Amino acid sequence: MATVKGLRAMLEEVGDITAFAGRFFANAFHARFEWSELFRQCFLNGYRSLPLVGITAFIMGLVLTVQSRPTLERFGAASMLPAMVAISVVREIAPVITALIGAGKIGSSMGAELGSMKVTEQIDAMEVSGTNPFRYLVVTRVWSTTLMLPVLVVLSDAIAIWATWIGVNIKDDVSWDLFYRQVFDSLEFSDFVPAFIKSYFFGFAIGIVGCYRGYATEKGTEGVGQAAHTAVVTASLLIFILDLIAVQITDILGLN
Amino acid sequence: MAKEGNVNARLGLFVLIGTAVLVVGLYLLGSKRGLFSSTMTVSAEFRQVGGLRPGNNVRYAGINVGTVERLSIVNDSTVRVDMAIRADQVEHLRSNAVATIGSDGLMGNKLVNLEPGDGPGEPLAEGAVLPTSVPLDTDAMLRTLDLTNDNLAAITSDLRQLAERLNRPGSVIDLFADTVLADQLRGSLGELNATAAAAHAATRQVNELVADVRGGKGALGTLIGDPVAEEQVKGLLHQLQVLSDSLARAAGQVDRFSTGLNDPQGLAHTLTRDTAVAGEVRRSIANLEKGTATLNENLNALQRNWFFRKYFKEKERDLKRDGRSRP
Repeated sequence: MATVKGLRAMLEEVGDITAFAGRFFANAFHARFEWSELFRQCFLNGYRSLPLVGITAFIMGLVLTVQSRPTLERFGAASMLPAMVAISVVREIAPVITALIGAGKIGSSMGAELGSMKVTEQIDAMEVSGTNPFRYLVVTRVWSTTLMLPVLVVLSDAIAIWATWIGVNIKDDVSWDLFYRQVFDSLEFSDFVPAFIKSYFFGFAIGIVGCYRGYATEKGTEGVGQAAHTAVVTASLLIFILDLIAVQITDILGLN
Repeated sequence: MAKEGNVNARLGLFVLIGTAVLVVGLYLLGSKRGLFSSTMTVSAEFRQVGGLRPGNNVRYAGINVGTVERLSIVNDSTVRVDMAIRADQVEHLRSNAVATIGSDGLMGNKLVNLEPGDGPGEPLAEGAVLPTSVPLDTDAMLRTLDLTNDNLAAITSDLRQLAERLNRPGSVIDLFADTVLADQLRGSLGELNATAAAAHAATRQVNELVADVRGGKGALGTLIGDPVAEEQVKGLLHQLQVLSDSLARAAGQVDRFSTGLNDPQGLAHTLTRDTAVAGEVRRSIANLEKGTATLNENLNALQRNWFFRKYFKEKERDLKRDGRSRP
């Protein structure tokens, strides 16, 4: 009985998020657009996330290189380290890790911010003052995450590849010129483009889930915390589901 | 207001850097496939392409000159590979360049290798079909390796059996371990060495002799090498042949004479073998000598007889006349 109730609650949640997404699209291309708020959100969600994403990408590239080396050396294929790490980073690790970092930082902050605005009735006050709160708060935030996450992913790719070069040079002596040629000789458009496209969906998912959780907050301050928490969990789960779907689509299209 | 401008500037910088990285990355990926340079399409037809894919490199003498554009099956035994060759590399390629399917290292991607063909060829033209050669087939190599493995297993099995036999007591190994036998063998080998040295010296002398003979040196050399001597020898041999025939005839006559001599009915045999007859003959001869002496004495007496004196005087005159007329 509890399972059926849980399933029903989950379906309701999915329905609500879908309806919320539909409402976003209904307002997303409106003539009167909150540009200044969009830029502010882009600054907050993109620029301000860069240090965290950059450090994560650097550590990711370095650790992946150092950890992969013993296995490749066992096969006498240490020279393939740049290519292998670069392909892993570009295809999968950078988009997913960046999106998860985004879900943790951006999604939770959106859930908490909009949640507190909801519980303090600031959103209701905006409606009364004639401002469309959905267009001002939600559309700008979702657009900002959708647009900024791919930029973060590209920078994350670059930082991780640079860290890989440092990781390779810990034991070897490889020039940057030779290294980036090895990397770009091994990479294909089919490695980069699907990963780049799916990062838009990741950004959209983070924005939608964060805003939805904040917009649907109830039960006072307790609900704000819960909104922040569930925004991260749901966005992370959605990222993995979207990643699975993206992998299946690229496989069907023969891009793997 | 100034703060908002500062935020926007930093946001712009962030987006520009991200876009720049994206553009550079796309350019590097695209330039690898020749997207930003003009290309020329040529093709080659293979029996099988071994996992080649569009986008794989095309190399000429080890340098990337283009990429594989398209793969298409022409018929059940032919696969057509269309290659995009970068325009800046086309001038170095000729239409007789031979295409093979290779791989980038042991575990690397497949690629098309172009090698210069024999002799000068026409410059590469759009749509040219390059000749191909059979690529190195790793499956065939593995099949050969499998066969080699089987052979190796059979050989090692034989070797194991041989080793087991050799390890048994009383085998050849014991002979190898026998020091007395080794000493004897060493002595025998020493003698063999000496014999071989003598044989060698003899051979050398024979060689020298043969060389001398061939060079016309010595009697034998002269005999063999001089045509006059050869004629002489031929004549000598002919004469010897004639002499031999005469001797044979004489020997036949002697033989017949001897046969006749040995005939017990013959006079010779009687004279030579019969001692009684010989005694009689000897006595008859003795009697003849006596008779002759007596007769001689009677003839002397007769010459002095007056009755025959005239006859002897005429005879003496004839003798004197013959003596004067002789020169």
